Parts: sequence; structure tokens; C-alpha cells
Amino acid sequence: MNTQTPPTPGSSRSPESHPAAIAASHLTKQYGRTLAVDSVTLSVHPGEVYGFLGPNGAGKTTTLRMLLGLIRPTAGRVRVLGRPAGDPEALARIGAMVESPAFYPYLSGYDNLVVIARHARLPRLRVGPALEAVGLDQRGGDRVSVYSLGMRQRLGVAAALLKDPEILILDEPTNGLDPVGMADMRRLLTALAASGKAVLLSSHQLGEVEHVCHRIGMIVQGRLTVDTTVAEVKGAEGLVVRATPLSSAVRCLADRYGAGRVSSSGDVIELSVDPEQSVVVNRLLLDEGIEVHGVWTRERTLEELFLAQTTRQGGNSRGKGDVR
Amino acid sequence: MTSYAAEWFKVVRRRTLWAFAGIWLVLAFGFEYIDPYVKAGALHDAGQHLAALRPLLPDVLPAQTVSGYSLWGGALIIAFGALVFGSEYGWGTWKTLFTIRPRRLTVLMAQVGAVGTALAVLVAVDFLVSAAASALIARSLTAPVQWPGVVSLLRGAGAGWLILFAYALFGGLGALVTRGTALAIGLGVTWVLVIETLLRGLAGSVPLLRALIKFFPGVNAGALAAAVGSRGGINIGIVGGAHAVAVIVGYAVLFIVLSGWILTRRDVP
Repeated sequence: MNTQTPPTPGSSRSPESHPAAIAASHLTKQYGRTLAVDSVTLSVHPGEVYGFLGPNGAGKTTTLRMLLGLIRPTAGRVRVLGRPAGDPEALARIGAMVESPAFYPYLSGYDNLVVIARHARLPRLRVGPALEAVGLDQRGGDRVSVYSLGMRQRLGVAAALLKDPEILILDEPTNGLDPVGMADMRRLLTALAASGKAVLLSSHQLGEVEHVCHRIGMIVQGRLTVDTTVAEVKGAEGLVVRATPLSSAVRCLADRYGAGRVSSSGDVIELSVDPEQSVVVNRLLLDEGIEVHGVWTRERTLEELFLAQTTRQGGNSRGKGDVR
Repeated sequence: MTSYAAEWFKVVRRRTLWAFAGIWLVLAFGFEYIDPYVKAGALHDAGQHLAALRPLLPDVLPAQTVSGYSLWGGALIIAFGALVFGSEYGWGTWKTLFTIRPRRLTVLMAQVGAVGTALAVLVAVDFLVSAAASALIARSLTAPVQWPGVVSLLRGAGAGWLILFAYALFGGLGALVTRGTALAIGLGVTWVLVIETLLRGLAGSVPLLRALIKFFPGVNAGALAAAVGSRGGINIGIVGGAHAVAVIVGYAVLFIVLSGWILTRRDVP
């Protein structure tokens, strides 16, 4: 995929200063007695990549379908670029790939995009560059029926990019891609956000989300349990200290910061304090004659958050199984 | 128009549909010309032989060409309609179509337009093949080749197209209802070839059925074929040509309205 160097998520621009490109309020979908999506409120702004996470069956795809107008919410409201979900004028400015990309198997990749271009009232000239952008220009003439999963994913992204949309809604876009393809996709997504597009990315690839997204929402059993910035999730939440003797170090740190902030696990001490305190901690232990082997900042990973959320909601086995 | 162009593009490039159309044409030619010609050849009496070949001559081209449209022709075209509309479920491409731009009804009407165009091509080719066959038969009999008037040809082709179009929409509606092709084809063909035939047979002894069959698709399709001179089909003299046109157009409109209602009301998987 041909992309430019991506900016770092959470850089100087402030996506939230723009009006929301996607605004969902108390979105609910009920199938019989099953509450698939329960009062989800979220917003995605131009220039940001919003990571939409959750275990299988949590309601991610149902939510994305409601945002696109493919299914009607039981309750709640969606505005996409200021218009209702599924409105033709809004759809014309959205590139979407929901679940596995679906194409006509008897047509070539190129011809599939021609069909989309005609429905979208776009010139056929856009098809070639879209295929090129995802690295399919050499195989565009082949029938989709012979495409691999990764090639179909690429074609799905090409179809989403064809309209040069203001919003991209992508459901597992790296599914089936090789490592190079995944890296290309990451670069592409960050470049698209840098160009001012709003990207809503549903993914199980937590590392990918961590690298690419500015904000994340986590849906568990239909409810949005987390809606925050990646920086906040990863935000340093304390220090990890290795020192000997361990018991003396624990006692010393507990005296200084309080016992509730100190815990030991194996041969390390976890200290819930501002990471800026690392120098103070180091000096404190040395002054007490304790040998310090290292003091590190402890960052929480998205995976930890994911597991914590899914376990807390009773989806432990299901959630853990989805983490790659 | 751009959506129509997209849907026509899909139909034109779908070899399955053209293979299907090819088989349909071969069958049509077989039933309309080869079968009666061979049967006529078995008659030893010269008068009977000429009488049997009479419907195959050019001046009655429209009647002979559409003679099978109301029964086997329509039954097979149900599959054509079901394939066009129902395959979108199999491939999961409704979601692709409905997230591009056009409204769902626009997509539906584009597909209806593409099916109508394909059937117009099919009927035109059938008329051309039939014309060539009838001309050859006339020459073999050293009979003068007298073509029907343009109005008669257009009436015949129009009636044939309307019959096939309504059946294709019937198949399409079945595909939308059942979210696929197989069940729609099975039920559609069963209705045309079995259930309607059975009910028509019972109509003689059940007064309520006698009134109802006036609105059966097959009966009206047969009546429409008879209105352009066809002596085959399943018209049993119950309705006239004008009634048949009204009922078949009504069915076509009803099938489109119901298809539109289903497509716009349903969540897309």
C-alpha cells in the first residue's frame, strides 16, 4: 500500500475541536429478548482514529451496521456528518467495510470497483488509483473468486477509499493480511486521519489499535464500558522497582507512600505513584542501604484493559480467547 | 441512471445468466419450432402435414414464438429473476450496495430495469431465431414468405416480454422473501407447473376457484399469449386479452412494491 509517513496519534492537532463526524446517542438494538447493543453513546471526530474494541458478540458489528443505516436501532439516535444514518448524502461521504468484505465473485476486482463507482456516481478513473493504493493494481483483472482473504480485505479497503470519503468505518481491516500488509494498513490509517478523515476502526489487534488510534471505545455485552484516549489508557500508572533485600524495600516504600500503594510480586515491587517520583524512590532506597537494580515506569497495555473489562463483565473466557 | 448502468454491467458480465438465457432460447426453439416440425413430418396425409406446419409460417410468427411463454417459459424465467435478486444474499453484497450511496429503492429499481432489459434482449433474439426458422420452413414448402405487420410483431414481442418480466419479478420477490435463490426457484416453479395447474383443474367443480383463477398469473399469461394469436398455452377462455394485460401489469407492480417494502423494511445481514 502506498502511504505517506504517518503522524503520531495524539499529536498537536486536536480532533475533538471539530464537530463530530459520527455522533451516536443512546444507540440500542434489541432482537427479541436479546439486547445486542445497550445505550451506546460515542462520537468520532475528523482527524482521529477511534478504536472500537470488544470480544466477539459484544455488539461491535451491530453498532457499525446501525451507524451505516444497514439496521435500524430499537432506540437512540445517529447523526453521520449531520445526517441520519443511511442517508444517501451521508453515505456518499463514507467509506465502509463491515465484517468480511462482500463482492461479486464472477467479476474482477477492477469490475467490482466499477460497479461501486457507478452506483456512487464517480468516474471510472478513480478505480485504478484505488487499487494501486492497496497494492492490488497487478491483480485487479483477476476474478474475486480466486482472491485470497488478504486480497479481499485489500479490495474492501480500496472500495472504502474509492469515494475519497470523509469518514472511514472499517471492521477488522487487517484480518487475513500478512505482517507487511498489516504495517501498510497501519500507515494508511494514520495517514488518512492526518489528512483530516474520521476513522472508526473495529479491531481485535490490540497492538494495532494501540499504535494507530487516538481514542478507544470498548463494548462488552452491548454496553460501552470504556470511552477514553489511548494516551490515558497507556498513561503511566506507577513504578516497578527491583531491589534487594525486597522486604526492606517494601517496608521503606510503604512508610513513605503508604502501604496501599505498594505491592510486591515475585522479585519486583509495584508502586502506585507518579512516575516522576522515580528519582526520589531511587535515592530513598539507596539512603536506606538497599541495593537498587532498577526503577521503571509501569505502563498499562490495552490488552490489560481489555482483559480487565471483559473479565469484569463476566465475559472472561470469551474475551480472552479473542485477544491476539 | 448510474445505478441502472451498474446493475446492467453486473448482468452483462454474469455468464451464468447468459448461459441460462442460452438454454432458455434452445428450449424455446425446440418447443416452438423443432417439436411441431418433427411431428408434422410424421404425418403422411399431405393436407394434415401442411395444416400442422401452418402455425410455423412467418405470418403467424408472434403467436408461435410466445406460445410457450405462459407455461414452461415463465416457469424457467422465475429462476432468472431469483438468481438476479437472490444471489445478493448468497454473496452478502446487499450490505455493499446499501453503503455506497443510492437509496435501497433506487438499487431495486436499477435491478428491475436491468432484468427488464435482459428479458427484452432475450425476447428479441427469440423472435429473430423464430423468424429465421419460419422463413426456412416457408421456403421448404415453396410458400410465399409473408411477414406480419410491425404492429403485430411489436404486440407479440411486448406481450411476451410482459409475461416473462412478471414471472422474473415473481422469482425476484420469492428470492427476497426467502433470502436466497434455491427455495424461491423451487416454490415458484412448483406454483406455475403444479399448484396452478391443479387448482385450474379443480375450478370446474369449485365455484370459488372458478372466480379466483381469473386472477392467476398462469391463466392470464396464457390469455395474453392467446390475444396475440397463440393457440397453445393454458388459456381456457376464462379471461380476455385486456383483462390479462391489466392483471399481469398489476402483478408486476405488486411484485415491485412488495420487493421494495421488504428491502426497505428489513435489516441487512
